[in-house]
Amino acid sequence: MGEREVDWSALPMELLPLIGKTVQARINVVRFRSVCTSWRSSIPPLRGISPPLLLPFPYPINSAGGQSFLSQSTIYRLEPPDDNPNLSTCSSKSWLVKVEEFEPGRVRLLNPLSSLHIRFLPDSFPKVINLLGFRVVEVGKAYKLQHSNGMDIAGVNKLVLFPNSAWTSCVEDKLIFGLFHEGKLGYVKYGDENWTFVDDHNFYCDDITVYKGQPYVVDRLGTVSWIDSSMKLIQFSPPLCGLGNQKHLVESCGELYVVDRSFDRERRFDHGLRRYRLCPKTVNIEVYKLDQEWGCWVMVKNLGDQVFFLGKDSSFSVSATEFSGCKGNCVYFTDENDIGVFYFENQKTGKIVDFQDRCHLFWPPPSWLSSKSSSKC
Amino acid sequence: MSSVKKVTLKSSDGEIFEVEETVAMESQTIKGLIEDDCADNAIPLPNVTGHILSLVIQYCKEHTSSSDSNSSKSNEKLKAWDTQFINVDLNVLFDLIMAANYLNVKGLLDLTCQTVADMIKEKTPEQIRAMFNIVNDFTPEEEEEVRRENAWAFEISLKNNNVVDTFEVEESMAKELQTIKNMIEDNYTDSVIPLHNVTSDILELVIEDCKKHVEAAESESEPSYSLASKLIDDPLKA
Repeated sequence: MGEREVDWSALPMELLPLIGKTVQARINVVRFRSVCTSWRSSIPPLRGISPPLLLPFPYPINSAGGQSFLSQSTIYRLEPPDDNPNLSTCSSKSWLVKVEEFEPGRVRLLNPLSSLHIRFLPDSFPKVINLLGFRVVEVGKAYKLQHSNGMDIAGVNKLVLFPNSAWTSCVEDKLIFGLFHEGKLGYVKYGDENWTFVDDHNFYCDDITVYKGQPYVVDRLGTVSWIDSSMKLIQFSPPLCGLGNQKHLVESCGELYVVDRSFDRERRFDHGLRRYRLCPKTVNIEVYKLDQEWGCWVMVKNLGDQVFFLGKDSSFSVSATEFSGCKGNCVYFTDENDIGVFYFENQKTGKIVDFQDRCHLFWPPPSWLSSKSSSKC
Repeated sequence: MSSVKKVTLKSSDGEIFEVEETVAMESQTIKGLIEDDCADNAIPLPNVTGHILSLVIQYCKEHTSSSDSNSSKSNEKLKAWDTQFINVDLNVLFDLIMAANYLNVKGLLDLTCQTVADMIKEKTPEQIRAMFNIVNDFTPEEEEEVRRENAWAFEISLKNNNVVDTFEVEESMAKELQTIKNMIEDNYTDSVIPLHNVTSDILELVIEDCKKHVEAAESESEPSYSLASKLIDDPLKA
């Protein structure tokens, strides 16, 4: 066989959309369109959720005029290509970042856990990042329900879109599941007048996620169920009966885990209210995996190189080896906008400021970010 | 005489393949020819070399047997076979795509396209071009468009202490801030109280916050403290 260099631009034009359509994550669609003119014209640009997803309000009290919008934010892992000369001197090779693209090309930097807008950045932080020079991997997506003025709608705990790929940005195909105040589960489809609530008085949903293409929920007792096409909850696991107060679902390496969080109430002086009030403080975290063969829960004592994130509107996991300098086997969480971390190796938990000597994959932004010059606007 | 019907396929380089009709019918193109009764002799396939044709036949064989009702091949096993099968170099992959398209073998076409899509994942456009020997043929205008599509312009507040904004507030609200309260009580007579350490953005937020607390105190309702949390500028701090 001779050394034949295939010219892939000889690929017939009608095949390009077939390849393009199988690309799942939005960032990869943008990349696909950035290769050459024929690839670019073969698939249309994706612009967030289009048209903007207008939904009815989940509760009548919200609807004092105006409409609710679904806003999407994405968590990415940013990595410089290997030829960056500054790399050897940097402590962290990758950066975990959460952004909300509110306008094409304009993003808000969000805290991956509390989802608050990070308004102030170090002076060395570039104002514009040209992604063409980076490896960008999508880690997860998160959704929020907002008023038209951008304020979050109260009482909404978590939202997931189903199905979840980039191509179902066509809004008609989307089903939105929501977890609301007091653990109520509801869903809505584009065009519906109202949300439909899954009415089960004994069911208090703690978390919801889309796993292996199916929506799964976990209730207060740690029972995991999946939602079938007729919106019925099919029990998937026995109750966990953990000792914690709140359960979370996290997917890691293709498996579904339940994280059980225990709270203590701590009296803290609230400077805003000028008085003491009781705030929840995470004191313990336990992680469980379902042994599908025996149908029972197994406690996981060591996460290996995995790092779990229990964010306000999304939970996900990453591998610490991709963020060199950072160790795995820990869980990041948020207590009312405070960021905390739990280390399994010594069972230590605390606010992230107490662990400044450790490497945190999402803050501060790595030095290679500022060394790569930003493009002129 | 075997009871299994066979068809003969001839590749572009003259190789002859005898395959069962059911296997050959995985290709919609061949299926059409058979149904139109054009398949009595060897079917010539001028666009497919022998090497590629043998691979396509392999694929079809594997996938025909699994659609049998008494097939023991599970979906997982078939997927694993596919993964192993498609682990070929780029030249072969290219030829397979072309062949799958020409012969209209849907499963193989989907598999090959998905493989290409997976290869593109996590690569910069530059790396993709290098990998697939594609020339960057964008015009300068298109290049600019591409650059814009791939850029993130951050919406941030710049710490610009040079911007001087004055805010007029009611005394009751200003007194929420202990510092200002002290200044007022100490009879600070200047008309404008300068706050050197606070930028206008922050000051705006603080004033909004004070307003809310004053209103809340007056109406005795549960104040919202979500604004206070927005003053967090360092994500690591409380």
